Amino acid sequence: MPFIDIFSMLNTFLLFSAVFLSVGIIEVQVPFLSSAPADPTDNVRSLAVKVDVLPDKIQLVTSYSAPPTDEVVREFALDKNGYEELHAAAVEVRAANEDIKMLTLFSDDAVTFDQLVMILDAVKNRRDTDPEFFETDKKSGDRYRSVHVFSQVVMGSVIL
Amino acid sequence: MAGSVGEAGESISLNLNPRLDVFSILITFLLMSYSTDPVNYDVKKGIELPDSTTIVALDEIPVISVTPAEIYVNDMKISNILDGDVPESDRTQGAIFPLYEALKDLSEVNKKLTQLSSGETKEIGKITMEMHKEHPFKLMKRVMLSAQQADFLSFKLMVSKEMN
Repeated sequence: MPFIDIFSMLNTFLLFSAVFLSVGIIEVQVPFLSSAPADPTDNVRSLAVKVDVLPDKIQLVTSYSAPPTDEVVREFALDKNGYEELHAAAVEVRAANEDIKMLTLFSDDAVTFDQLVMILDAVKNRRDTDPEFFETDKKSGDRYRSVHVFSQVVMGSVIL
Repeated sequence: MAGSVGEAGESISLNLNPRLDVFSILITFLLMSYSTDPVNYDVKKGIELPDSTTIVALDEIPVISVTPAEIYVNDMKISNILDGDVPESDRTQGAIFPLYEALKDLSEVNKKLTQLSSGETKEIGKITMEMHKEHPFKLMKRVMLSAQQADFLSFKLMVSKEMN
């Protein structure tokens, strides 16, 4: 009988404190203008990765900042298979360019927040089956294993 | 086994074994799903968060809440939402003016508190936002633009984590 009492109390406590909906976050940034002087490395030919979300498809565009731009455009459907293919392509681009951790995302106004989150998942979150990516901590200079494919996603459409 | 005596003097016994089994299984399940996350937050009424595979947990209460019909900043109603957008009277240069004003005040307070505590001004303002999943990007863009003008450049979008 005391066993039943303990179980009842424990049950009641756990039922009241149970969390049936776990909440997480996806971090994104918006572009900002700065009056700081231009970075000397800005003139270096670097790869820019961009994702365009249109009402009926997704485009992953990679191009270089200086000629030859070698622009490559890959298109994916706006459905579950498309997100999987987008993720595979994002991993491929990231694996081929270890220093690139930023991606700019442009979206059409009609795209819903739900669809946008799935695209952010595809380009941001690293899965266990993906290769490992490393990043350098700005303050300490230490390299660490990243949980992201592209850790920095900038919402390029958010400008005046 | 518990027992009692009925009207005819017969002994009635209650089998507690199945009850113990149910309790054991229930407690096992609840213990496994017990959350020790530092932040527990109940999503605002009407908001349905999109599903995500993110592993990053929520670390602060959201400041901006965009329900299906209203926009809140720290539980203070800022604007209504009609057909996925704010009324034209609240719009200025693509942003939401009342939202910008509320966030600007918040940003000033944050800057003062940061300066008082560490003597340095924060470089990038971060803000947590919860939004109903059916809203179009057009509305999200307006909210982000308003926050950007109030010096909030990094957004933590609240999503529903897939339970493993």
